[in-house]
Amino acid sequence: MMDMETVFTFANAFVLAGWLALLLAPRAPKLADRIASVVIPLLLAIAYLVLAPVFFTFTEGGFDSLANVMILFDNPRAVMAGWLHYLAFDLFIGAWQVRQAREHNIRHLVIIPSLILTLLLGPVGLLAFFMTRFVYTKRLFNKV
Amino acid sequence: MSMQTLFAISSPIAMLGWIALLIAPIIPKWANRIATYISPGLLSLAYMSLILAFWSGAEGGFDTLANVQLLFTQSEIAMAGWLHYLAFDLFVGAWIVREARAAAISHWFTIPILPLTLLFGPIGYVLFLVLKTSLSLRRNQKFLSKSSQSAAA
Amino acid sequence: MTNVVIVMNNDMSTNRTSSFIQRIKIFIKEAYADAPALSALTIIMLLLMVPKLGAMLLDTRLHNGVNIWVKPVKFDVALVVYTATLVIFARWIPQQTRTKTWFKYFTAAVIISIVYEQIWIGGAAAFGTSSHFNVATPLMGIAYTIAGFGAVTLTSGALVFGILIARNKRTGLTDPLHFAIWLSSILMFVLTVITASYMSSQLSHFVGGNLLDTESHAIMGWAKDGGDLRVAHFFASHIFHVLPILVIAASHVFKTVSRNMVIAMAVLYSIFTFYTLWEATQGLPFLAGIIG
Repeated sequence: MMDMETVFTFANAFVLAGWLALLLAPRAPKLADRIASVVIPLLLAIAYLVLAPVFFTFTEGGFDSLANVMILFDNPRAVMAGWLHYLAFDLFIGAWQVRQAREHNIRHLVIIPSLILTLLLGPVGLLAFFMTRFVYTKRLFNKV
Repeated sequence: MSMQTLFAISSPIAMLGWIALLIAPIIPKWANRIATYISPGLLSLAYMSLILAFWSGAEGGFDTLANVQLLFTQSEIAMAGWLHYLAFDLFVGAWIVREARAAAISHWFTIPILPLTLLFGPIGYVLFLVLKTSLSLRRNQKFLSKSSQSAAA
Repeated sequence: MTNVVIVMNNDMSTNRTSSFIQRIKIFIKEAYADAPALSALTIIMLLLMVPKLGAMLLDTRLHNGVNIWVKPVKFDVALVVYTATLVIFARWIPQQTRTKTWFKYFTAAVIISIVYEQIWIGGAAAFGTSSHFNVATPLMGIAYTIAGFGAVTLTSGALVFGILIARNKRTGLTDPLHFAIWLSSILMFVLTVITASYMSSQLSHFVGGNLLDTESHAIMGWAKDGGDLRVAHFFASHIFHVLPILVIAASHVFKTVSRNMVIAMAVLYSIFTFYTLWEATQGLPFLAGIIG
């Protein structure tokens, strides 16, 4: 088994390529979207699948209380799996923001702050995007 | 407020969204509003509160796995990390339901995928992508075979 | 272009059958159309108050003896009231003026200043340090200086709005109310700059007392054990709320309200503001010289 720190470094570099694609999305929108919402999440999910069995090896810990969640995060493999989870979904939501901006004719430059915030502090970036879209469309919710 | 209390409050907020998604065909508009905006929005606001209050005093960082692990030894930051999961898993769940509807995939197919997304986020998402692709391939094949039949006839 | 359509809907507000909630909805829509950028800023600031209130609930760190998030939230409230006022006042500026390029750039400068103050004050709280009067490190010193320029820029919004409303003869307002609105808007800038620049020339807004926010008025948070320069700043920045409301109230009591009456009110209010400033410089709590 590869050292978890090495996996961490590789996964991060890999995901940054996806974010770079999103930042440059106007140059190749379709390609950027494929990379950030399909190719990279797919590969991250495979890595996640390899690590996920670790969650079934725990005799203590779980998702039912914060103390138990913290026990799970005591294990490097579990933390790595959890990290891959963040990487995949943060990137997916970044890609979603780029698609939404395109749909609502919001200039790419305007959503770059929310993209960067999504990369750094996921939920803050999502809030930032909701607000950006609200300013442009004057709608809080999207049509279903 | 203690982190245990926050944990206890945030779980039902997320579960409300998941239940709305399970019964989405009955309340499509509100299932989407709750699971895309209201619940993830509230969870994200709580996340932001924790970051504002505790991030500057936290030990660790995003630079090495050991540092990420160190972050999760502090209950406030672990709680923020948990809210991040709750919010984004639910958001992706809602996206799956929307996408399934747009592609006319039966809700029965998406129902088993939702709990998987709740528990093992990326696996649920990828399974949905596989399901969607395979269903559309099959439809195309059916369409092709039908059209070739009608051409022959 | 949709803005025009919304303004055209004006006659709906006079429709007697329209409910109270509908009228509020129309009012908000009109306000949004009159000042879209400032309206959006107001809504976003209101939203961002939520995580700050959440942080107040969770954070145990203190600043001046009280929760570290009290100050950012107080500034949020003050700035939301300010931008909401500008949004409402914008309707009395002619539309040709509001669509001019220089006006848009000016609004952008006001908004950027407000966003800067928010980030500076909120950021300082998040990092457990002071914003105003903080010159402990070169970075924070520079940040404080920039905040000073920002504060003048954002307050100049009231000045410019006041001048533009003064020049507009077709506001549809009664003459005394029109006069009160533009006069108080200009005075808001003048009084606020005077009180705030005096305050920033000191090392603290406290004069005497325990130099903490612990001995303070329940709602406003002003010192009860010494002088507090924030009192005068508060009254200065609210003249453009008080004066128009006084005129509306007076017009219900008296048959006619003359410009002279408005001037008298403005002078009295300004004297009162300067009195609170003097009081604080003497190390006296608010109204201590009069009632206690």
